[in-house]
Amino acid sequence: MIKGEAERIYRSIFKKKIPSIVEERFVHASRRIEESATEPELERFRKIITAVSDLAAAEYASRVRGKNPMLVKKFQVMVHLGECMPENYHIFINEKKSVIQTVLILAILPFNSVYKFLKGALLLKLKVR
Amino acid sequence: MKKEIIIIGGGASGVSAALGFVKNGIVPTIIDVGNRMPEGHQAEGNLYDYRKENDLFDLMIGPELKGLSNIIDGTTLSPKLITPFNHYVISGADSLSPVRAENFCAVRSFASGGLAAAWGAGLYRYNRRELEHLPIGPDSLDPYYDLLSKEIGITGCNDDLAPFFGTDTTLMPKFRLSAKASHVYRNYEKKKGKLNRDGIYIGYPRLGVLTRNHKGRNKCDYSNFETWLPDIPWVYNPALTLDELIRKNKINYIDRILVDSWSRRNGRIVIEGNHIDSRAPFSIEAETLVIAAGTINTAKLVLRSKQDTKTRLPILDNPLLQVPLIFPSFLGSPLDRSAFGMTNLNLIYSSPDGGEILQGSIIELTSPPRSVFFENFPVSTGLNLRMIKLVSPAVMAMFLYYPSSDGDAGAVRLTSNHELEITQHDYRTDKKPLKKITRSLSAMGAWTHPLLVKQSKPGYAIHYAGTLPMKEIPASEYETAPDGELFREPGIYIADGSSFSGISSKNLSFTLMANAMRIADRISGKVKKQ
Repeated sequence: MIKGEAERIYRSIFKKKIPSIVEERFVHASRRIEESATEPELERFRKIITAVSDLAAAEYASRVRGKNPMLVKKFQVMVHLGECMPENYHIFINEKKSVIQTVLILAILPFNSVYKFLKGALLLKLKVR
Repeated sequence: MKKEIIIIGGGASGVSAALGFVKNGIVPTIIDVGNRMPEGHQAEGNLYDYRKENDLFDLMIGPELKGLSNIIDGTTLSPKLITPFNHYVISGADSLSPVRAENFCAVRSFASGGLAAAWGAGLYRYNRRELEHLPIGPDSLDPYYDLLSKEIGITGCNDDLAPFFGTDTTLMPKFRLSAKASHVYRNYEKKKGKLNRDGIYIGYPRLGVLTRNHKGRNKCDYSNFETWLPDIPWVYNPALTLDELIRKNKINYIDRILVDSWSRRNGRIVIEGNHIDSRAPFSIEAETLVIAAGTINTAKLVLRSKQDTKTRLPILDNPLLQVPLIFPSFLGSPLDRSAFGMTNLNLIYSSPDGGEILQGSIIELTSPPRSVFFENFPVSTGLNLRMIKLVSPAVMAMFLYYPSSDGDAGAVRLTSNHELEITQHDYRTDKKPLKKITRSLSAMGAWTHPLLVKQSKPGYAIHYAGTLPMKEIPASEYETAPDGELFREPGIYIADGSSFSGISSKNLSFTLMANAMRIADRISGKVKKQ
């Protein structure tokens, strides 16, 4: 179960297959997160993982509204674990001047964020009751 | 076992007190838990070259997932304290000295070097105004500041902040500013007429960071490993001096001991505790006891020795605002791989009407893991990663410190099961200067807004003080005399932040070190007379 969710979360963040070493580390971290979770929290989290198609949107809506802390925590953990990998170096570190790209991103940022928030909130409402 | 002078604690204060005794030809004994920095990392060169080739897991997170503790356990520690190789600085604190804290971030250290083993290395002299809470003036601290400055190696310069930081002729050359910090400094120079009229001053910080080789330690190489590694040679750690004193047989050092309390037997002070590893009881006698265990641990030791579970001692820390600074002209720039990854500049706000003086540390963020931005950019996941890559190189942070005195104090009490209980209300910081500061920073090319400013939880500054205030004439059993002696406890001296009944917005580390050395000097004088 946790391996499956590792794959889904990693793919929704980094858009590629999860390396086995990251998967192993995520399983370890996930168990630690789940130690302090209540059964209803766990159940809701599992439902989100299996039922929601756009996990990144669900995470964003949850993060903004301060809900589903387990989903938010697991995304944060995966970002940290992903950063450890040298193959993801260029996802995190900019080495050349990219002003136009940055301006474009800042321009679409409000629209994209509103769209993702609404999508995530709707998916959570429809799929996870 | 008998020793004449015993110091409890091997952190900044304890080591400074030891230096004070050694200067007088006295061999003190330091008793310490003394957790040591772990060895075995392979990291070298520049952080970003290293990152391209190596899996960072052992450096950034570690097999025990320490690097994820802010996420998993909900702690609010700085990234530096949770990286696996720096975590030794706070490890074991919860079991060795349990604290129940309500609305207070109670960071304790049992490491060799204490909390200063992972500090920001800001070392500032207090002036007369900042010492007004203490019955001592700057003249009585100056010689000790000078001696410590030579020992440590402090970088800085006598610029526009000299009126606030003091003119210092022992400073090392200033370090190379990051590109963004240079941008602020240049704009400040252009506009400083108006900025100064508004009470805003910018200059180089005074840091325990080497810009030339000193006492066998290498100068700063701008490699950005400051957040990640404990053995950065150019950042001063009191453990360096401690090790040197041990090596040269200038002090006796008894480690792996947790001291619980003292009592008196036949006119001598009996110090009792336990061996950390075997749990066997430990006991030692002394003529003089100097307690420098750090404000929180010292409070516990004193309350426990007096078996007092009723009294609530005051505790201070600097109220702290975290101000993000965004540099529009750096958006889309490559990450400054060779920036100095600590405080690059200081800002002083000195209210033109003579009110409070606030101090800001403008910090370059090139050293911490990039993932820490993920929680702070309020945007969707995909764009968040793009923001980390393209926008985070254009971001710095300013920690804005407010002074603290009685009105801000929390309370520390010993519970019946020997835990400390710390309670603190939310700080009320005056937000009026903040508007002026954010507007001035924006005018210097570092855009920010009061709405982006985050108030840190009390205790986050880790500048604890005030539990056993120093008074000209102490009148209660929890006050100390100007020579550090605890009221009606002959031979027992307090030599750490505990005795500061008010703290300025400038980090008190250097002043508590100078004060510890001053107290040791005074005690030495008494011992010699005897």
